[in-house]
Amino acid sequence: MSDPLRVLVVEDEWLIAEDIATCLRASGHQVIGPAPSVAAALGLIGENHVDVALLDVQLHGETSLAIAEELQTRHIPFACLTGFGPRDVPSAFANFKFVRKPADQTAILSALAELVPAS
Amino acid sequence: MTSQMKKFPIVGVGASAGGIPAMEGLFKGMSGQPGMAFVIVTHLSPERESLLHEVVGRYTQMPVAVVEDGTTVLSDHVYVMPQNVVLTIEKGVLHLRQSNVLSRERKPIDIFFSALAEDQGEYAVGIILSGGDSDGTLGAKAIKERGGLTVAQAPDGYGPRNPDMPKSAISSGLVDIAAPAEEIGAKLEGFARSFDLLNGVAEDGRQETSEMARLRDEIYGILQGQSGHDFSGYKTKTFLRRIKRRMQIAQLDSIAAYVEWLKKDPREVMNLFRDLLINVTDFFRDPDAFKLLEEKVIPQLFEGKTASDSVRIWGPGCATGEEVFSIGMLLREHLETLPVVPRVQIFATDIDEPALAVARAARYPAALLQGLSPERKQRFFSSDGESYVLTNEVRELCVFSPHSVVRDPPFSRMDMVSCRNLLIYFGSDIQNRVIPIFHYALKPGGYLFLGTSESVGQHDNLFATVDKKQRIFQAREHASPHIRLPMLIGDSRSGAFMAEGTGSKKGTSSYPLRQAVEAQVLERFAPPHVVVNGDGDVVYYSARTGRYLEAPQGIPSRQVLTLARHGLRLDLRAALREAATTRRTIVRENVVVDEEEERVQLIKLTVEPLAERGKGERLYLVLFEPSGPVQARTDVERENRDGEGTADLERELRETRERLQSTIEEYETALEEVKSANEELVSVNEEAQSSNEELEASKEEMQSLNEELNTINSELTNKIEELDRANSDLRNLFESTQIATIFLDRNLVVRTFTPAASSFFSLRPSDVGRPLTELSGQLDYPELKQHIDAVFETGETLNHHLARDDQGRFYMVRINPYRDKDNGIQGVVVTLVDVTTLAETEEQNQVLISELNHRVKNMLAVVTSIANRTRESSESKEEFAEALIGRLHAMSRAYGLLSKERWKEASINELLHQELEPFSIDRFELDGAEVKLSPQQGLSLSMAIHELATNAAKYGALAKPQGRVALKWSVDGDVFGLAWRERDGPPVRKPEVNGFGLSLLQGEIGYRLGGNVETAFNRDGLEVQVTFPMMRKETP
Repeated sequence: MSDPLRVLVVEDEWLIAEDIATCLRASGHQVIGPAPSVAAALGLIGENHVDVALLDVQLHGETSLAIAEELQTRHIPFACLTGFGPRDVPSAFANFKFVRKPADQTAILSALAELVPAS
Repeated sequence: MTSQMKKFPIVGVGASAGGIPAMEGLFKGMSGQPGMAFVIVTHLSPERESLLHEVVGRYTQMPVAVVEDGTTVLSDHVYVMPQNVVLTIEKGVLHLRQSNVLSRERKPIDIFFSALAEDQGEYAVGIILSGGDSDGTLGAKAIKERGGLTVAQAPDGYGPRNPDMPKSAISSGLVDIAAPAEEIGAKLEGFARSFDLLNGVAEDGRQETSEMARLRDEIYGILQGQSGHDFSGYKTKTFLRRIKRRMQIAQLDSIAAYVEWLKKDPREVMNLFRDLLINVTDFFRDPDAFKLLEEKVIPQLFEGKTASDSVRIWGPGCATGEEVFSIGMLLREHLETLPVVPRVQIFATDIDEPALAVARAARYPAALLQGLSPERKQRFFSSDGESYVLTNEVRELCVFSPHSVVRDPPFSRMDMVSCRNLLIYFGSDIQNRVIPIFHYALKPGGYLFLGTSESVGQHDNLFATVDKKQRIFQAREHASPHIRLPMLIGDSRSGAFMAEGTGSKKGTSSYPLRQAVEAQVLERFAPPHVVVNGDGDVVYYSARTGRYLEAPQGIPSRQVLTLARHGLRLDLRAALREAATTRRTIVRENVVVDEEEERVQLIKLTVEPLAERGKGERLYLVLFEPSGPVQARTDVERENRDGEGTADLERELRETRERLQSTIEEYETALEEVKSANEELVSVNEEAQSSNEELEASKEEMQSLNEELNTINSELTNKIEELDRANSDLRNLFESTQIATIFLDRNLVVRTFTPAASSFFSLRPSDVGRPLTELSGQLDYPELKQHIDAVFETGETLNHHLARDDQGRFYMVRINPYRDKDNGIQGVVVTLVDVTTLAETEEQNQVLISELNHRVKNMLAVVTSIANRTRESSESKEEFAEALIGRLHAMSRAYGLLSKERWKEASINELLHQELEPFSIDRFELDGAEVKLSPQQGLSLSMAIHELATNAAKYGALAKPQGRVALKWSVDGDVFGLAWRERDGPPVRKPEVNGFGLSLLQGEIGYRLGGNVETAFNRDGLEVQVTFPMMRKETP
């Protein structure tokens, strides 16, 4: 198992957020959040040290673009976790890394491994 | 000629337009068994099947059949020629030949008749009924020549409707019987019967009885008496055959009866005479004569002629043209040997216009071409179906015109006159008039070509014989002007036989005494006199006329005016003319006649018409009586001066007379000139006439062509109208579709465009004809040219979507090849279709599909999560299943409600009812106004209510029968609040662990909706307070 990571989870659907969080915890990672909205997420980023982030694209009437931008400025790697394919997300997201929903444990962990290569 | 079978006549019936009523008359006028066979030949349209046999079948009891090839002709049968064939007969068997489509036989009647004549001889009968054209005339000629019978329909009150065909045959003089259609039948039956009766007459001529010989001699006599021809030299058999034919026609059964009839009816003598002389002019009839013509005469005609000269030949009585065409062929052959070709004109004349029409057409059945050598046939004729047409190079030499040798002014300055077998039809007096006319018509030294039984008669002073046997003569040089004038006085008698049979007795063996005495007295004492005819020719001289008449210089003459001595001529001419016109005796006193040695004699001149002597020529007695002694001229003049006036007056009178004389001579010269001018005019007229006929013919052709063109034109007009309609349909279509369409040709030049296209390329109507590349368009389509080239290359339609333009519209460009009817690519059609709506719909569709994807995936993630959480909180498999299924059902119910409301909103009432129904709704107390929640709120609330109800049923109020739940909700400002309060349940304990149900409640309401959940575990039951903000931005 790789080093424990502090993973920010942004997901407006509680059940899904809970599932991802469960999965991450089970793998020994620490979950920051989950946050259901941009504001909540940005707050968490400000308060916590975040190694890596998993973002849902559509957040109950807003997109997670602002979060993504904030993460980019902070050089925090992240992946978009969404049911949309890269073609269907707003064009600003087009170049980000994607993990398709529903994502099982393996998909999530391998995405994390990719984002934060073991040093 | 089958001997075992009884021979019967075969009747060819020729008919054309108007032939049906004529045939009806013919067959209805006949019994059912006439003892003959009939073959009907008609002009049929090759395109239509003929029903003629059925039509004819109604008119006769005889069986009627359509001819098939090889049909044997039987008596009492009627055969009908089918369409599209040429019919001939051989040995009594009919033969058909398919006629060529290209050269349709135009004279089927001539073809069949001539075949019939050849095959059946005197048993051939040709009937010519109503029809246009002159078909049948040549056929009748062939039948007549072989001794057959020819019949033509004569006009009566009803028919023939188209008289041209029978008229042509009748006027050719070849028709034995001309009768109305209804009467022909009876005459034919009589004719057929007569074969039996008269079989002894000709065929069995070997044992001629003396009675027969006597009757024959009698007929010879009658003929000679009327016509002057002696037929005793004819072959007896031929002679009798002709007699038999006449008897058949006259329906007489014995020669004696016929002789009686001959004596009674001079017309029958004429008919017999004609029949005996029946001469069907073949080409090169009498080959020897034509050989002589070819070798001796024709080269002479061309001798010394240059290209500007012309050789003129006159063929009077040309009939159907065989003779003149024969000469034409000889001339044509000779012309080919000449280095210099003079103009050749053959004036062919006849009074019989229908015959001339036949001649002009120059179309002959093969049977009539027998006189021709195969070489000439090959050289000069082209076969057109069954008949042969003379080549144009001979026809163009000949000018045909109606003209009477006897009545009309003659032609002049001819190099040759060919008049074979015409004179035999004329009586001797007409012959005597015609021969000088021929002399007049000829140039000095010109040739006259007569038939073998004709001669120049007494006029050998006009013609020198070139060949006695072949009757070729040469005109002598002749100075006498008077012999040329055919008529001094307008005597226009014609007719051949009028003057015959009155020959004066020449034998003067013994005069009675009284006559001798009278003769002597007359000779001694009567005044000198002469008898002249109307032309002034002396026919009788008395003694001692020498003082008044003297032989003039030049060739001998009998003309009294030429003979008269000086001084007498004027008075004599005047007196003769007066006597001829007034028919009274004219006396002139004191006429001065010059004598020798300046002496003159006064005489009394008397001209007295001689008493009428039968039908002969009028004659005049001219008496010269001296009325004083011979005196010297001076004495007379003096005497006259003394007696009546002065010598001056006398001299003046003489001068006046001389002037008169010269005036008269001038007048005569002028008359001559007028005559020759007239002749010129006649021949010019003929040429004009023939060109007129040609014009008429071409006019007819033009007319039918015109009709055809009219038809085509009206068809075209219809097509144009259709085109117009189609065009306007297309234009309307273009305009209504609003599809921008441009037609370009191979060079990308705009051919046409629709109004919708004008905006794309800034096209104006004046831009048609300009290359598209020159036009500035608003279209951002730089590849257009390449695409068009690609379409030209591949011939396939090309579709191209243009990028969204600045007005946000999408266009699809379609480039179609423009193919002509041979499938060649002549250009392209560019269409621009606005597909904005389509594109937008498609976009929307795409959005929907991705949304659906998203939702489904989300849902699956949710389900997965529920399953995970449920499993965690379940103790047994059954519990897990029950809880999971319950939750899934709750979700599915919520989704059902939302989709019913089209994902717009969710009614709180319906939502609660739906979720609480499985837990018996009557145990709940619902209190609150209707609130519309957003879909997400509805979904989350449904899940929450489901968790609460499940929990209540398991552990709370609903686990006890009397337990109840009260729900109360309201909206306070922006906040929705719902209170869940359980009563009368089992005692409540706060659970040690926050169970999944409560977590879910917290997650859905708190996390998801940003709301709040407060739980109070009161004694009498669980109480849950749920609040969340109503207005929160919602994602679909």
